[in-house]
Amino acid sequence: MPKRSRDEIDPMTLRRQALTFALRKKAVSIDEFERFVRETKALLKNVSRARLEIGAEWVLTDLKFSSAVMAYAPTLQDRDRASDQQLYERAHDVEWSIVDGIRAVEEATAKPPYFSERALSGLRRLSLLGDGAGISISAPNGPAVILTRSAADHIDVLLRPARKYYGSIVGDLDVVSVHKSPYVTVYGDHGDVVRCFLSQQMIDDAKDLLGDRVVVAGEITSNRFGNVVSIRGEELYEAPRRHSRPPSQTGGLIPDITGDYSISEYLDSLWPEEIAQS
Amino acid sequence: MKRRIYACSGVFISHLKGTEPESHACTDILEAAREGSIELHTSWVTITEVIALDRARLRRTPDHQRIVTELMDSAYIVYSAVDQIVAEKSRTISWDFQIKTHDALHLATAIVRKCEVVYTIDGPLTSRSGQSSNNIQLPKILLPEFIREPSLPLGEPRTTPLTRKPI
Repeated sequence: MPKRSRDEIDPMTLRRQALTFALRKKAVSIDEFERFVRETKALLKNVSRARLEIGAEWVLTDLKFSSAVMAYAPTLQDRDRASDQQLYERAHDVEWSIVDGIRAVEEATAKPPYFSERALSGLRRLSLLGDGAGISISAPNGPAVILTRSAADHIDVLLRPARKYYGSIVGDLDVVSVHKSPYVTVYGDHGDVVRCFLSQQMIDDAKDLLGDRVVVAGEITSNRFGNVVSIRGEELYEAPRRHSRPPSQTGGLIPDITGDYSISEYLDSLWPEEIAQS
Repeated sequence: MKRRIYACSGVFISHLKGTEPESHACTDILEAAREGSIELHTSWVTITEVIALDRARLRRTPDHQRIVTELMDSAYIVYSAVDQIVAEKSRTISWDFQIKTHDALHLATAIVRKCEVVYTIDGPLTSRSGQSSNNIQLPKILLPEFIREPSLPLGEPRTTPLTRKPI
């Protein structure tokens, strides 16, 4: 499929895809508006980076000054490989990740997938811009979620260390920061965005692994909900890429995998010391 | 939001066996995950259970190991670690419901990952579906079932009626 610039995309199509942020206040100062634009832009950039392996650029599709309502639509830069429908679905995934993530923050149930520490810190600042009515965020064809000022407290809880244990995180290594405490950011296979603090030697190794799938093992810090917040890495190595071959290719290929046992007997045989009974 | 489904080890084993009454339903669950219509969760513990052990008098061949590795390394499977929260929930499940450790580990992981259904091939375990104690509410526990919408294959519409092949 030939590449197409964002100027060639039908404006109505973009409008239908738009994610709307509405800061409903009696009066929005220029300073507040400037921060509103900056924080929404940062949020869109951070979450789409975590959610997609391809680039996304957000364009403004609507702007109402009465109460600072902005609508953004993603334009995805992968037009030579994916069909319009696939890109539309991916754009939709990003928008729903943002809406679902904000909902998870409001409910204070878990650190939302695809939200890095930086994205959450930005969301915290965004939430403080709203007053009693909060900020309404809505994706196409879905209910709006209201970002209230209480989200700031929830984010503090979501990022507060509660437990430490030894473990590992697997995902794409995407950011290397050498400022002060050197760290890398790993985008886990299923939405975890984890800051991994590494030694200088490991940072040098990490530079060679930028963009690769890696395993970082070390002391994990998690929040009270068990979500990994950060890891102090002791080991870093490249992990093989995962695939998505059709399950039909492996179905029925090992008919004797449990030998003479039934599957239940086989599984029980793996844990022979158990005395509890189902 | 996609439905979050948890699959115990038996789902993967039954899929690999292909000879059990529920094998095709297990494959259907995996296909649904690959198509992206559900989120398929399991525990890293599953990796340690979907193997072939000598005690079951099995023929372990490099081919079998490759097939198992290929299936369990699929990108559509969402793995979860046994961390402190999962381990403590698993212990509570064992205490409160007298459920075996390995089943309790799977149930605890499903609860922590907020999965709406747990698929197991362990019939008796399904009798615990939705039960609750003072400390914990078990999720819906079901035998594997077909979850994909029946659909016609993509391509040109069929112009001739389906006919039974002569035996």
